Amino acid sequence: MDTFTGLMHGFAVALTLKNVLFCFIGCLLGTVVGILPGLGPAATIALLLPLSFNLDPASGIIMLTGIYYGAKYGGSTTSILLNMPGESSSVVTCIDGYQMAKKGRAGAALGIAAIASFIAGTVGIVALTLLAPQVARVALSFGPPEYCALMVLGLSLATVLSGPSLLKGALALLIGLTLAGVGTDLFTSTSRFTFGRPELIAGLDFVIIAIGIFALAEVFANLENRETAQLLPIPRGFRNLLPSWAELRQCRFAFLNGSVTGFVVGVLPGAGSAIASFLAYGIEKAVSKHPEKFGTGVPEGLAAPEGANNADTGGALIPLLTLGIPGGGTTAILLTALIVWGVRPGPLMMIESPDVFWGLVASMYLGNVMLLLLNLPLVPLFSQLLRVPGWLLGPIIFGLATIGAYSVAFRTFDLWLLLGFSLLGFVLTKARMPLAPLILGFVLGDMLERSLRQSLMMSDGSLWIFAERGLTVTLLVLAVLVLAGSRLSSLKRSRAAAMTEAG
Amino acid sequence: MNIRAMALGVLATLMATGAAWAWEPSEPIEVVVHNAPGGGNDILARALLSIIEREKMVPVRMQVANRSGGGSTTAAAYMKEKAGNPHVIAVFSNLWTSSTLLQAEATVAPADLTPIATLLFDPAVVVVAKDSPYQSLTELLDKGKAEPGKIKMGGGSVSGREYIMLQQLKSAAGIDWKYISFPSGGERVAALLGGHVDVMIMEPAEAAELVRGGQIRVLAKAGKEEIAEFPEAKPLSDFGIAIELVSAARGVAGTPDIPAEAVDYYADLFKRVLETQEWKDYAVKSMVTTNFMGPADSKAFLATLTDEMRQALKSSGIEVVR
Repeated sequence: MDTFTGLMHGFAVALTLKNVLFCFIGCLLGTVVGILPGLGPAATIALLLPLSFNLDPASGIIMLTGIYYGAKYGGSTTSILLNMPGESSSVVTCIDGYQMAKKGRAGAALGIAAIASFIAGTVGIVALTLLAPQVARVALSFGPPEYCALMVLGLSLATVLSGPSLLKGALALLIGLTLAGVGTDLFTSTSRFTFGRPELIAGLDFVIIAIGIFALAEVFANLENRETAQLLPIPRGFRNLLPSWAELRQCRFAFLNGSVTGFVVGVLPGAGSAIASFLAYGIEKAVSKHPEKFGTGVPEGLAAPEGANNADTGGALIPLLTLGIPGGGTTAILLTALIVWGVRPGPLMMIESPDVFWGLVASMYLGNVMLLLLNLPLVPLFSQLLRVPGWLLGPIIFGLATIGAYSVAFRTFDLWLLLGFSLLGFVLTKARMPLAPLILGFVLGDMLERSLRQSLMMSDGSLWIFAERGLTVTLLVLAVLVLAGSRLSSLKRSRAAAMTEAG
Repeated sequence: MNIRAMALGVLATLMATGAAWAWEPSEPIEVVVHNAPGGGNDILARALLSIIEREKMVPVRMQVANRSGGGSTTAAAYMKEKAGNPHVIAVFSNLWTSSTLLQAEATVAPADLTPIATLLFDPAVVVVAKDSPYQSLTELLDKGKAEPGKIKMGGGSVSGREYIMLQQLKSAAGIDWKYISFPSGGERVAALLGGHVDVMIMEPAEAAELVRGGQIRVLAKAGKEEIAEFPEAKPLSDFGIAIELVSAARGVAGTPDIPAEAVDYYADLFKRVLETQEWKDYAVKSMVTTNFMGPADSKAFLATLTDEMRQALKSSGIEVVR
């Protein structure tokens, strides 16, 4: 059946009372799970799998997928209010989101996050509906050299994230890349930096690093300034509870950027949503008229990554549904669920199980609307969290962080790691080192090293493989442009500053 | 009552209890797996448990305990911790053996525990993308001998079965395909379909869906057992490969130092499970080959497997730690 008929059929399936209810349950659960640091959508879906087998496939997958994209909405809440990323994809939201909250615009920040998530999420589903097979084909043309070039482009954006000192940014990036190397080498199964500890064989977990370096380091820094009675100013007055029209207008490009970048990166198997949000943030800063303001609380700096991590969901479902290829941990569990239900994802899914396929797609439109309606009214409620006095909020954050870190693998070793990383984050903050490049390095490091070595294996050690493939060359050229662009603009600014001083 | 009658009575009671099953579980049984819920061994464990529960084969409750982390290391270490406890068993696979060969931190192998039974083998098929320029296995094998490193094979890490099989092909038949590791199943398949690697060795369950969708073709099967889903797949021996490739087996093991009666109890239990119709249906649906081996045979099998793996890894230049 063609797209329009399919979609209508899908809405017929999705709009039954039963499926609307399951969609709501999924979205609600997802939001809650997204807010809680540590527990992620993957673990939740895995836990609910046995229960959901009693449902029919369409209802079950609608609920489980609701958890998946619902979590992306919830993840921004703790990022903005507590500088604690609830999900790996919400880390970039902390950068400008928390700064906005510090300026008393917490409500506006939460609102922008919800709206960006809605717009990008919907764009992602529309793209999925219209372009699925074509996009899937393009995704397949991404081999190791293309992934490597994409990672290099991501790294070049580190220069954009470094703030005033490029040297400090590069140092932070290197620390992040080194942390990514901890664990077992994929190609030779050698243990690296594990110090003989079996807990480190699988590498460091992103959530623990992010919570330690962002949230707890912030708590320690605030402990130094005992005079402040609360950590963040409470938004006063109705105007501060939601974003203003001016701010929303400012974010026009960010909404588009988040949607497209998130969707494109989401389609690539293995490229996670953290990469999507970093790329969107970097692109936003690179094209902005006031890049130096990023990191101090600009709405676009929040809207772009938040949108990207939602559009990423729509993208990630394309290889899953059209080819049966799971792009990451969560989609892998969704694949298992589909197989157990007897639905076979792949080119034949649209024909054999139109109920499930189109029902799922239609329910995602519905789910995004539900999530917007769920999250926006909660903004004033969540903002009241800031009324909690500092001496109480600090321990609460500490408690949440500890539970979140423990919930990753249920072992106390991770709590020691959390402590270690929070001290690291504290030291780095005192040294005025930018934290974003560190997280960027950690997120990209794994895939960068892997794709580089895979490419060199494919070419027998020759670097020319990067010059022989069109897509790779395009991405590398973009990376060079970004690097050149940021040097040029910083040169221009220092020249302009010099001229104004002289004149 | 006279003493003699009492003594006879006591003796009779003792003999009667001796004649009944020497050991039976008296507490809930934990079944340890090294994956998170939804992973390979987890699904197998749950399938086994659902059969046991339905047929009421065991007087106590059985539950899956997921102990994931570091491949099989966490699960294996947990089993070692519970030494002597006959109410904890584990479902192991080849990864438990290969981890101990490759990682210093993985100190516990299935052979160090108490092997109870081997339950099944995972068959393997050799596949190429539908639009690949190589459509016959003969061509791939010949090119593998004539042009070393030209043909690229995709797979998981070097602890995986495909890598060991490739090394065996290299040592025995001189087939020099290049091996490129991808961490996840999704990335591997995407690389095959996108033409970035030329060939893969897959399990039939994974391959079946892709064949149905017209995305890949099966060129041969790695073992000799019949694969119902691919009846026309020829064994590698038809292509001139005479060696026995390493099998991917899954089985059950107990903690170290448990009484022999407990081992016999479990071995008998799982033997009966594999004879049920429910299991037979499961095996067909999951495309695995049922193959029961008791405690002694399993131990011997694991020893041979360890040697074969060690040999294959060493000959390919990978550092083996034990």
